[in-house]
Amino acid sequence: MRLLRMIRLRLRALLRFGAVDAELDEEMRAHLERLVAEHVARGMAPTAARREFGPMTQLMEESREARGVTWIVAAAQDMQYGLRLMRRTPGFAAAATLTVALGIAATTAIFSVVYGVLLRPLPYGEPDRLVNIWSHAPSRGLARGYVAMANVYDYKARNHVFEDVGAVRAIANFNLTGPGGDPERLLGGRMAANVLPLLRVAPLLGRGFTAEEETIGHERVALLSYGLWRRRFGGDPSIVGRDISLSGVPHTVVGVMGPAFAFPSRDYQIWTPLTFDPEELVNRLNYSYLAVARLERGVTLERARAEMDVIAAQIVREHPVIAAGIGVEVVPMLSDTVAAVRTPLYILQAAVLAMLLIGCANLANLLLTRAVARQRELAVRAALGAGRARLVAQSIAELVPLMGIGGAIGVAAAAWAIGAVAPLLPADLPRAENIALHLPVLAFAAATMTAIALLVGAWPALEAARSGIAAATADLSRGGTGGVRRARTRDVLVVTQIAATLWLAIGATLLTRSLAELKRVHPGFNPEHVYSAHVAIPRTKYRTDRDVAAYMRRILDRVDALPGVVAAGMVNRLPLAGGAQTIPIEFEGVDPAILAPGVGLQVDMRPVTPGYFGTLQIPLIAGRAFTENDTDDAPSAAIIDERAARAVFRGADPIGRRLRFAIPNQPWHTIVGVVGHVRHDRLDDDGRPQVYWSYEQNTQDRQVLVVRSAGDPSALAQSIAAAIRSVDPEQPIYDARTLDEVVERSLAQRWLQTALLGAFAAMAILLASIGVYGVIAYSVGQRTREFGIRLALGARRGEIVRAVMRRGAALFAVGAGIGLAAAAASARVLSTLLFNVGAFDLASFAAATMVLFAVALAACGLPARRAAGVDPSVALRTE
Amino acid sequence: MKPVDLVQGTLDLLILKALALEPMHGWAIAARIRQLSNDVLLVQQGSLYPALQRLEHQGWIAARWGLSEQKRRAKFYALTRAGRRQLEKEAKSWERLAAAVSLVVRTT
Repeated sequence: MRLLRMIRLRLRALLRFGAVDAELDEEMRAHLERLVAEHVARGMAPTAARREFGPMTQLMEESREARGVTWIVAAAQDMQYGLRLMRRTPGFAAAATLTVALGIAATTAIFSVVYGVLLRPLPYGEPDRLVNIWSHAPSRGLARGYVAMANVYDYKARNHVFEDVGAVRAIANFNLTGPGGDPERLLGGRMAANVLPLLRVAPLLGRGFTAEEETIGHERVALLSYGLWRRRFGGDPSIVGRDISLSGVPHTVVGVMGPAFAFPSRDYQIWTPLTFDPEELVNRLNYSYLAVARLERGVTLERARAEMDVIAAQIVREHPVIAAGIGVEVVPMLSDTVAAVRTPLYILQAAVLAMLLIGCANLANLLLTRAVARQRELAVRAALGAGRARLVAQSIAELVPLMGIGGAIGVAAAAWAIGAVAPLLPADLPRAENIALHLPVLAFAAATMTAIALLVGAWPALEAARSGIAAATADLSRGGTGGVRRARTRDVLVVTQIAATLWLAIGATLLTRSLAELKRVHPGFNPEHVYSAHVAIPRTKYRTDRDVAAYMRRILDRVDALPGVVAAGMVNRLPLAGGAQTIPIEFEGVDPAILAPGVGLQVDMRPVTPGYFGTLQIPLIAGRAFTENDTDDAPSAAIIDERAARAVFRGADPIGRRLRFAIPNQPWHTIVGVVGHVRHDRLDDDGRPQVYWSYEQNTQDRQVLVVRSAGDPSALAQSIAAAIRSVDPEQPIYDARTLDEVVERSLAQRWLQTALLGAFAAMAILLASIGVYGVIAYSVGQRTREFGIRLALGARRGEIVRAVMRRGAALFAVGAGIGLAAAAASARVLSTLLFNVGAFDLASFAAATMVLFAVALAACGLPARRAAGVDPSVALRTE
Repeated sequence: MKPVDLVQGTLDLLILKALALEPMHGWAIAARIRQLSNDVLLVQQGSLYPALQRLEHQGWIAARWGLSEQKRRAKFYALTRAGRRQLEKEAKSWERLAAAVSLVVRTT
């Protein structure tokens, strides 16, 4: 009630300002009249009554203040004035608005990525207590890997730090067939029944898995992702309870997950219950499970890590051969998911803020110039008693319309940019689906705008208030040089711009050089003219290894027969396409101690068809390649790469030597050949050596078909798909693209980083050149008379030019010094993103400095020439 | 005895006190304050009005137009419930202050 009345009062005071004043006026007048009448009746003068009442105007003003809304009225007036100023100086308004819009757009767009990917909480209950558990075995050359089911059981039974431990296993090849579309390969997860309760999420429709469904024979149920449900089943809620065909086996849909559920990542589209061969608990060999856990309330990460280290050590003691060297890593789920992109994203955020700073310096410069032009007005206001606070408030309020318009354009541009860039984002950018203008992102944009307004608005007003009336009026009589102090302020702005720009330019140059270096790296195969397509072979249809191999052979026969095909082959994992399969190997007669103590050599395990090496043009260095004679009943053969040959045999001939999996009870394979080494994981990381087997002796159902063509490989896409479907019309094909594209995609994150940083740097250089030009041109304008006098006294024009350029060069030198120091200081962070380029790469530092110097020189050159062109007689008459 | 200048903020208390009995308009409030203080406190009459605006905007008094005893349009101010609470609070703290001051005055 009281609140309502007060709101009504305030609104009335604000909106019906005049009416409220008029009422008060009437009230006071009536009072005064009565007082006068009383005085006159007592025989006194009316003036005495007036004195007793007090000064009317001042009391009116005090009453207005008492209503507590005058500042709003004043601010509104200032804003209106700001709008009028914008209309009166459209050039200034456009430049300033564009600067703000650009700055806000870039900062907001990048922050939307930083927030969506790095900061936004995971869509689970109390996500801060969720962790991933990894195994790691540095002595085996494994930085980090999944865990074995036996480990999950041990962790669960022995720990006192987790509420629960769950596991999920990626299933690469669910083949969804049936109504609603083509056969489709889905990435799915076998997910333990306790995972959803552990994450504290419930399905959108239906239910999660039960413990009973984890037993073999009851596991034919499925949970759909929201995307799959909408896309394939039209969002029909009656899907729950119906059967769908997964790899030829009917599964009952028990539920649909919500749109935010992307576990372990957004690539997963379907989940089935986690079942596994009980033998895994005994042999402890299958490291294929992602373990997730929820920390008990109040348990710190450190304590959990300490306890898990103890448990891992116990496991090593209990299974000294199998588990040797295998430790455990506990990582918070969110930071684990985004670890690889954290530094690059923060660097981009820093870069865009630097660009914003450079833009703001230009804006401050413009406002300073305007403040000088309005010196007389400000001086008069100060003389009439406007305090410093009032002047600053006015200056900021005048900026509000500009900020509002610029900011709105900026946010709209950011929204557009997010939509436009989304399809270009690297496929391996985690959590990219979270990138949007979320509320905190908008708050950040608003905060940035406020900061700009406070920074660039307060400055000129404070300068004006400080320089005072005397200085102002004195200056005005001579046409206003703005004074020494203001010149120094401008110098500070230019120096800041140059420093920030150089810092950005050096970073961009380093990244560009690094990317160029990376493109020079030979991956070990020739990606040109090769098309690739993933083929997940359903074991439900092709049950035995022999069936799978025969099916592969049939596909290859058809593909080989296509016109334009030079060679074709298959492999279980394509280089640079993500995904690895590794195995520890030991060699007969080679002391394992020279490899990794007790565990052998960790290598990429690659079953291939005979045509694979030829298709990718991986060179045969010694011995022979596989042939169709390496069948499952022939002696087991292996081909090692040159790196393994060098590391293990050190110059001795490896052909005829034998190797086997470094796991108990494994057969020997004879080395029949040596091929070139391939960079499998990443171009910038040499990774592991490779060992190859014949597809008939080591048969896998997840295959990649590679086809070398005479001409444009993508022209083969249709005929290759048709060839595969002619063998089995239900065979899904996925991730089909040229090998060049595969290589490009593996560089997509770096490419995007480099492109963005390069764009920011280019923008920064442009903004800074405008800034330098503005300041030098302004100072030349101020010194026109001086130059006129100098010329009149016989100075040569070259001297004038030199004088102007000297000033520009001095500013550049100071700014460049600071910029170089900043670049050197941040080198350590940047070095994590560089490949084959030192963070202190002299060439990059020099090149960026030279470019910026040239730009600054050009920016000074124009005003310098104008200064030299001053006509003394005109200059002296400008008064 | 010469009239005493008002201590800052006391005017608010006096107005609230004056309105405690019944709603009244500005002129009457001035008269009541003078009467309450036996002419010791002299209020510059015009300064009532900023104070009234302030109190109204704080929600302690509410205003309504009515007719004065001279049959002229006048704004009548009345104490709100919040105003009554405020009056009690201010009166109490005033008493404490007054007691403290008189204590100081006596001991020196």
